[in-house]
Amino acid sequence: MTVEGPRLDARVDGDGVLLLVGEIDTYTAPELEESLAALPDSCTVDLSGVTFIDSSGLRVIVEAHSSRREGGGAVTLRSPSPSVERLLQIAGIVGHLDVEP
Amino acid sequence: MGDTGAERGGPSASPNGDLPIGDELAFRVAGSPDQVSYARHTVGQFLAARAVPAPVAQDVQLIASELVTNAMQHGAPGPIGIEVRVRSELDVTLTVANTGPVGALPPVSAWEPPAGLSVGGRGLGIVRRLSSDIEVLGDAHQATVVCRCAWERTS
Repeated sequence: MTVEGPRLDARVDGDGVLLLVGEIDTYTAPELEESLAALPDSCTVDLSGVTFIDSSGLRVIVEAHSSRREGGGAVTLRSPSPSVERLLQIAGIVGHLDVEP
Repeated sequence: MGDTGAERGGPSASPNGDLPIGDELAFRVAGSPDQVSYARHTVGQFLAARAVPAPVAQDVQLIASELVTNAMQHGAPGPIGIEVRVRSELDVTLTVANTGPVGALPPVSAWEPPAGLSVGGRGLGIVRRLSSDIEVLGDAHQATVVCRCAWERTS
C-alpha cells in the first residue's frame, strides 16, 4: 500500500505574511515548524487556505507563539479557516492566541 | 488512493431513498505519519456518501486524525485498524485499534486539553470534547478506543 501523505504549501508573501495552504497534521507539522522558525519575532500566519488541522499543528503554533512571547514577539493568526476555528474552539485556546479576521 | 478498505454494508442508499442504517466501513493503515491523512480522508468520503452533514463529518475526521496519530506515537509498531459505523446521519461511531498495551492510554477522565498555552498533549482532550461517549478496551497486547458522536437534531 502506497498512499501519498498530505500536502502543505508554505510561502511568505511581499508583506512577510506566511501563507499556508493544505493540511496540517503529524506528517506536515515539521514543515510548519521550519517555516515558522524562519519568521521574525513578530509575525503573521494566514490560515485561510488550511483545509485541515489537528493538535499536531496546533502544538507547533502554540510553541512558536510561546517562545516568542518571552522576547515580546507574537505569532498572529490571520483569517482562520472553518477547520482552524473549530480546533481553536475545541482545544479551549481561543483568547490565548492572537487571532485577526 | 490505496485499495486497503474492506467496505461492508452494501450500497449507500436504499431504493426508497432512506438513509442506510448500520452501515459500516473497516480498514487498516500502516502506522506511519503519512497514513494519517489517508485514514481521515477515507472516513470523510464514507461519511459524505452516507449524507452525514459536513460539520459532523469534520468532527469525526478530527477524532480519527487524533486517535490514529496517538496510536502511532504511543502504540506498538504495526498497522492500525479503523472502523466507522453510521447509525444515522447524526450518530456516528468511530473505532481505532492498535497493538500495544491498553495501559499506555491514560484513563478517559484524564483526557483534558492543557490549560492556556502550556505545551502538552491536546489530542485526547480534543477527542473527549468531540465525543458523547468513549469506551477504551484492550489488554496487554492491544488497545481499542470506541468513540460515539451523537448530535441533537436542532431543526
